Amino acid sequence: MGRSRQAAVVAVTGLFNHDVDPRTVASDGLNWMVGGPQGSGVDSAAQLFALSVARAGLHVVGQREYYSNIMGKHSYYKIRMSERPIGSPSAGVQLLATYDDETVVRHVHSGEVVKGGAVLHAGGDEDKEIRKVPFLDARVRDAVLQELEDEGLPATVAGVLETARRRGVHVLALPYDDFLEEVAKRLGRDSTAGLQILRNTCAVGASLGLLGLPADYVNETVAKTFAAKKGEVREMNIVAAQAAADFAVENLPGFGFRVGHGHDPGDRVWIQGTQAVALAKAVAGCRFHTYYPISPATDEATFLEANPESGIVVVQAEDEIAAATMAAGAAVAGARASTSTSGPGLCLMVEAIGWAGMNEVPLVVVDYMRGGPSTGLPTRTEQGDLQFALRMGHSDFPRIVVAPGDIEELFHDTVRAFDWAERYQTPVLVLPDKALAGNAMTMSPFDTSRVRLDRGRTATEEDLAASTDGRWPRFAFSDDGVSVRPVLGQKNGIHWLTGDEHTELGHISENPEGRDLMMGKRLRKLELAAQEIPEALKATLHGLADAELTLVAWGATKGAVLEAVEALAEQGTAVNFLQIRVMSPFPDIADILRAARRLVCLEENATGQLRDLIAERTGIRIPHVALKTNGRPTLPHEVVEAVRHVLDQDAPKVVMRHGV
Amino acid sequence: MALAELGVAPHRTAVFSGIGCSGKTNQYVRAYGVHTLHGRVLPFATGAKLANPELHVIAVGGDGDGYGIGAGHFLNAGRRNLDMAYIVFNNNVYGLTKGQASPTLGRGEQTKSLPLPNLNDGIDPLGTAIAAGYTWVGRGYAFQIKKLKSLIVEAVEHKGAALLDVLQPCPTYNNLHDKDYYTPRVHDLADDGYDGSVQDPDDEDEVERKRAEALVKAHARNDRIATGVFYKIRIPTYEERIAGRMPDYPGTYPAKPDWLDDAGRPTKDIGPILEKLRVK
Repeated sequence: MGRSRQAAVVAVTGLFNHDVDPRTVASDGLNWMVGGPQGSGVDSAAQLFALSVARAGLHVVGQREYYSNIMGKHSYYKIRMSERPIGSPSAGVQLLATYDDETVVRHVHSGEVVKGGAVLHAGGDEDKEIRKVPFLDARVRDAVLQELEDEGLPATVAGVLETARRRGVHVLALPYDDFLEEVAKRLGRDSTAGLQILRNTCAVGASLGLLGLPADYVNETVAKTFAAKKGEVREMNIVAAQAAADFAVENLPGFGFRVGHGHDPGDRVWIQGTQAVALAKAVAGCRFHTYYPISPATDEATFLEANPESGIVVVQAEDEIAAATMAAGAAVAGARASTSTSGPGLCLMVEAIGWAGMNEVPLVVVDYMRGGPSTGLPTRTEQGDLQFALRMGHSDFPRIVVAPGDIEELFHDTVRAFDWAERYQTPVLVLPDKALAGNAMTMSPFDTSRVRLDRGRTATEEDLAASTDGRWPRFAFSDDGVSVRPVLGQKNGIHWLTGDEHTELGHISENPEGRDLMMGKRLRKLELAAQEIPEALKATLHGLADAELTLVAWGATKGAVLEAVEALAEQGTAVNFLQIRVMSPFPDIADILRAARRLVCLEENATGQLRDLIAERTGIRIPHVALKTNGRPTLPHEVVEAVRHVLDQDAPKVVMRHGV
Repeated sequence: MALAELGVAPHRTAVFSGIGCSGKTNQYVRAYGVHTLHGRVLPFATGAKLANPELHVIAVGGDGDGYGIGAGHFLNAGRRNLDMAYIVFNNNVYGLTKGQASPTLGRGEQTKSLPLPNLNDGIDPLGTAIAAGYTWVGRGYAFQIKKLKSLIVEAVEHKGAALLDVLQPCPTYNNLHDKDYYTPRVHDLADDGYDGSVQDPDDEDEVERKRAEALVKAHARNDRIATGVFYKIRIPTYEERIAGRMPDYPGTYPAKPDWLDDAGRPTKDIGPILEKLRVK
């Protein structure tokens, strides 16, 4: 159901789009979804499921969605698994497992569960009135009630389950209490008290049983997950999973989806973006990291604190201003230093980053972009900070901005960020988004064998020996704008730093000639970065050079776009994908753009920030945009539909709306 | 003078300053000087000190800079108890912007730089510092140079967060709190036989008693203005607390470039951490 508002805008993948069969796109793999109130173990269930299927050799991508709330509001975790490598979540759910009404209502009504798929629910709440299901937004509730009325069904959970059956979806109530009784019996206990937590394992066990995964995989995962606990804990989980699996298989013989297993894709980890950044920092020599708690950045700091063997001193600051200024202070003292935050925090850091730019301080700031503006959508994704990152701060100073497209790039770009910061002696901003931060995937462990760290012109004892009076001109003019940089504490390196315009020694100066020279010196460093950073890193044209249409995109949409390109190729439409990765210094892409037959800029923000940047840098204004701003990640089928709208209807603007 | 007396090498010293007239201080000191941002001297200095604990780091700033816009950092530095001295030049006005009322100017006071009397009460910086957790709290007077120098030395030598508030007349804009105002009023707490030092930090009764006494002394509103050391206690510094979690600290400190070898290869092996994320 596409909705045309003006001629210019076409809605794609509306909330109630039951007609699109996502299996025509991104047909690799299956999706399993678990949902429930935050705090009820959705994450643990998802981890157990993901690690079990990963253990069986499948490639796994997890998509985690939750409210800005600690306990009670709806959260879900979608696990995509495939025998082929995958790089994006996808639409369509083959198996939904939950013991929560709200999840049933939201995700059945959304049309996500495909024909032939199944809903595993808790049973016993079928008569619950829709109006009494807590936390349903008015929009959703009204739409559900309308649908049930149109279908002539009761306004209850049972009514919603019936809409699923009418769409060819299997429905099975899992008797959780029975499974817990089984566990109690096997443990020799009188009651099931204290065993409620096992419901998650039951849901996972039932699901894996239906998908045909041999019990060994989940049993081994249980053993590893609970290795530090008493043997009884492992045993109860194994029994719970098996009891649920047996029941599900026996009672849902018509469920036809199966996963392959037994492949060996080699040594792999299950990792999310924040962990990749943390590890990259450890490798890069970052030894000082500050933060202020903010979604979705906090996970990175928590991971570092829990792993002090990383060697990084982690400081929780009193606010983001302190976080940024502490990191700058540490950098000035010679440490590789960084801070991580999200949009609202980055706003507070502007002054500090400007000071770092003025004082040529190597500072790495990671901004995990989330929905804005202001508090925005704290737990949802957006690619909305690009223009802000490029221009933050009054006046002009150089900064490097890099936007990795996936976890592998995020790791290596974060390592490089520290080299770039010290080489060009200026702030570097790394821009992952919430999806990249929090969605996990299986992948090969990072290969650090070819990493070589470079401190640029950070002063050595030998460099400073030339000093005659113990002082050093920190900001000495040079052809490329970079000076030898002593750090606090070094002999023969005494100099001054100040936010004011300054002399080569760092003393405050308002001399007009000196001012122009110093401004020029600072900005010239970006030209050096432009020359030295390889073009291949800055941008990549994926696919054949000759295509009907070129998608221009950046950041975490990479996975979805690549899959869409593949799907379109299978449909006979040749599309290629220009991925922009380094935003400042900007890549040399004018020729590629001019050679393209049709251009579409695809991004997750309201105004087409990359499109504007491209126009500014190349003079070329991309005529079509595909934008998504509802806080949910772009999925492959939406990209395909967007391309179709442009090719078939010449739509100047496509709005993508998939997601719950 | 204090630095010379302390015998610290200039290149191992960094004087951090905020923004204001006081911000220019380090331009006159032969040591590394870092002129930071308005209100933010403490976090900048904190980052540097943690990155290289062997550095002698001193933070200076003004009362407008430190007690107003910098109030958040001022408070939280007390929680951390980083081993660093913070010296505040307190002149009751924002001098560099031509004399507006600062957080320490009293209600109804009108310096020659103000068109109307001040609407706000002044805060009590020493009492605030004691409540925030600073482990050395003192006040000096700019016209008692010898005593001031001793106080600076003591603040720097103290192991922990030291706040030294210095009464410092601004001759350009503050005609109320000048030498004629202060000199007859200031007196030394030591002359009263007051001793703000906690002898046994584990003796909760003593700590509570001394803190309460110090708060009373700090908050006194009368014609006698106390100088000297109001409160002093030795408890674990922030660096010591970090060492509790990271046994290699401060022997291995962030600024130490041991994270790469001569060929530029990273020395940190993330294998053990990756192991925890392994699928099998």
